[in-house]
Amino acid sequence: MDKNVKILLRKGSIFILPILVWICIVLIVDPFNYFGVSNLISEKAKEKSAQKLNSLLYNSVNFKNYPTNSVIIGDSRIRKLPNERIKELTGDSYYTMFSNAAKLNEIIDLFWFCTEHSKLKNILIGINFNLYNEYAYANRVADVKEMIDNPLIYIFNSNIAETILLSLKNELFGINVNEKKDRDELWDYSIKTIAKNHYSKYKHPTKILERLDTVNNYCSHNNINLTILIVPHHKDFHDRLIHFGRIEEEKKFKNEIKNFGNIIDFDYPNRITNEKSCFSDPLHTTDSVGKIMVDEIFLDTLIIGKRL
Amino acid sequence: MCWKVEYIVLIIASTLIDYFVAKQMASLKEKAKRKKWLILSLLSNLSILFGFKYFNFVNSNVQALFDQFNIFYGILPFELLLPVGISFYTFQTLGYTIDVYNGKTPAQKHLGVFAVYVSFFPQLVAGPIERANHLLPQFFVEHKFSYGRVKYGLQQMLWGFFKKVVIADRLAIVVDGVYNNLDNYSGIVFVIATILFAFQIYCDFSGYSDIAIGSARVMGFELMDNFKRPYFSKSIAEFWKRWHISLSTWFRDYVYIPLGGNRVLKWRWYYNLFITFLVSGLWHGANWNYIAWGALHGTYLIVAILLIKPKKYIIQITGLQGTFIYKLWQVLITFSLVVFAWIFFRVGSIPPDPITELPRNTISNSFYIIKNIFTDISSYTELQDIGREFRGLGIKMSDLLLSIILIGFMEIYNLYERSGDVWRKLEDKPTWIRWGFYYILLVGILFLAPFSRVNNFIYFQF
Repeated sequence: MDKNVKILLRKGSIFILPILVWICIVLIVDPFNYFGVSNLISEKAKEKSAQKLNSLLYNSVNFKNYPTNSVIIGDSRIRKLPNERIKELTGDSYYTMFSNAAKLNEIIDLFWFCTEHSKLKNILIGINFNLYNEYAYANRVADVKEMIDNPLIYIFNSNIAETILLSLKNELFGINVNEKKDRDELWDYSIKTIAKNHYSKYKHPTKILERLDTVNNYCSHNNINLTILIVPHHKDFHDRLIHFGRIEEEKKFKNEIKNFGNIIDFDYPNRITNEKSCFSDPLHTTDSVGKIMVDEIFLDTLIIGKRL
Repeated sequence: MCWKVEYIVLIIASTLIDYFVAKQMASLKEKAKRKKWLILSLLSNLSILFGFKYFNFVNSNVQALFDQFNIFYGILPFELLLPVGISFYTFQTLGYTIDVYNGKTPAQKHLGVFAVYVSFFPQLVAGPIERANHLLPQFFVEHKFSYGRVKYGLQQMLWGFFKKVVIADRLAIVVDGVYNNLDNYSGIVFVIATILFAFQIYCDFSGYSDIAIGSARVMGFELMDNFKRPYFSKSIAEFWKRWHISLSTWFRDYVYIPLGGNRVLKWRWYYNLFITFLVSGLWHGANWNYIAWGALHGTYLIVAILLIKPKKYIIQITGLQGTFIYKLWQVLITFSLVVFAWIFFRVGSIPPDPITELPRNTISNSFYIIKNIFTDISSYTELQDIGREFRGLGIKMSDLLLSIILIGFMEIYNLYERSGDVWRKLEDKPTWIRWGFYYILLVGILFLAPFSRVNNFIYFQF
């Protein structure tokens, strides 16, 4: 072999060495249990980091590995529904397939993802008016599916790299990832900025409505119990909806989704929505409210919630 | 753009026709006789190109015209897909036959070598469109392994991949999102998306060119430069000396100069310029938007010529000549004009509506953007308002900022390149700097490229 070729191969091998080292790190830390070949990092450290930085991927991989027949799909608000309590009441093990800041198109994508990996029996989907907007859009489920199909995308991904670093930090130094924000500050931010993000620009989501109809038809044909839950928001948040002149659109939203399965609405002026202590921030209820909702839905004794 | 095995017939046909035409022309001394063979080559090559690329466009326009007068027009469109690289290799072989006709290059005797020239894979699908007298002789030179050359080629490929998969594909998410949903946006979003498109297309195409030139260099071949920091141009004329150089020089040599160039009456000179750019626009795609894009550039050049005297006068009285401010002003004005023209170019490649399947790459959509481009500027009082506009695309403000940082990084590289090739300059630096730079690019490619949303090279569609 030519001497120069040897130099090129030698230098090339040295050049790619860090890449091989990185692949080994991903295989060992594997915060999303994608490969499931190493237990060196504790499950707790992995879950804390992965749920914080990419709940969608973590839950998708987890569901793919351990599918259930009953699923709850939605954004972070749906997380407040306690699965253990549902099991006590119904005997069914529910998996909460949530994603932080999930959009409605992603929730529908997640529904189809679940059907690919499980024969569904019960499905509960959390949909609020703020998601029912053409401008409330993201396309992360498609990315996650690509990642699940292609290990190289998982290995070489900045988000995974960040999660690996956080997992290692959690494992080695026990750093608490749940940095509590000041409640008043968060409340203020939600009312001023998040509400503006949700309500200032609106377009009726015609295509999403069609997709929801397809989901509903699929559930009817496959004997899947479909429940749609509208979780409560604090009235301060609802006032912003009024401020941006979206009252008619909200009415239209409730009218349109009426046709899809069993719709239970907690987001209208009631004891919960008027009470600040029922919320950790204007959009997220406390655990006790989550339990109240579960009891009302699964015992079929609607007191605060109402059927649309 | 597509790849079908059957379409190999087209490139074989082009190769055989031009090989034999050139041989025939070389055997003839009289120009008039050679001309007949040249016409045969032009007609056959352009007919293939017309059939696959332009027939449906012409047909649909004739159909529309007949419809205006309620006249029945029964010619159906062809159910053909545009073969990948057809515009590039057709122009490369045409350039060869024209050069042989003009006696600028000898006819290639070896069919195999000529076939390799036409189908040389690094530049087959999107250029650079090589000249026969530059590339053909290289096939007769023995290419021994050279460590320095291979390394240089790989370095250029690395930079090309970085520009394509990290910058261009990242920008494509925003640009495609806005241009594929025009109804949902207005004002500043159009401005931002179009500016980002300017960088997307530059990184996409110059990235491809770097990969092509680099991979050819690894094998020992030198291809012509295709880009020279075009967005630092101080005039539209300069822009065209720096952008897609292989195509603009092709049009200069085979269209503009044969039309008479600038050695004619003034009105004819303007006409020559305008026609050259009109044809250049049409070369890019069978769509009124590409024609408008070409026409706009032609118009820019004509207006620039008309404004030479008043401009000189203003510079004289203001004393701006040679100042940094004036140069910056020139760069900004040129960039703004180029970006404005990109609106037509980008609208030209909007795919049909996914539900109705109606075309959306219409000229009216370009005018829709232009009409709405400054409508809501005053409604943005803070940065968050702009970020909010992109929510509908699922894009965070941090993603946008990262894209801007990457563009800045690329332009710093370009500025550094002004005083000489970056890779050559790096050779003199310590190993840690060289390898550090390689790893910055590699880590960028591996971790910042949106691999789940990979796009084809834009110029593959032409």
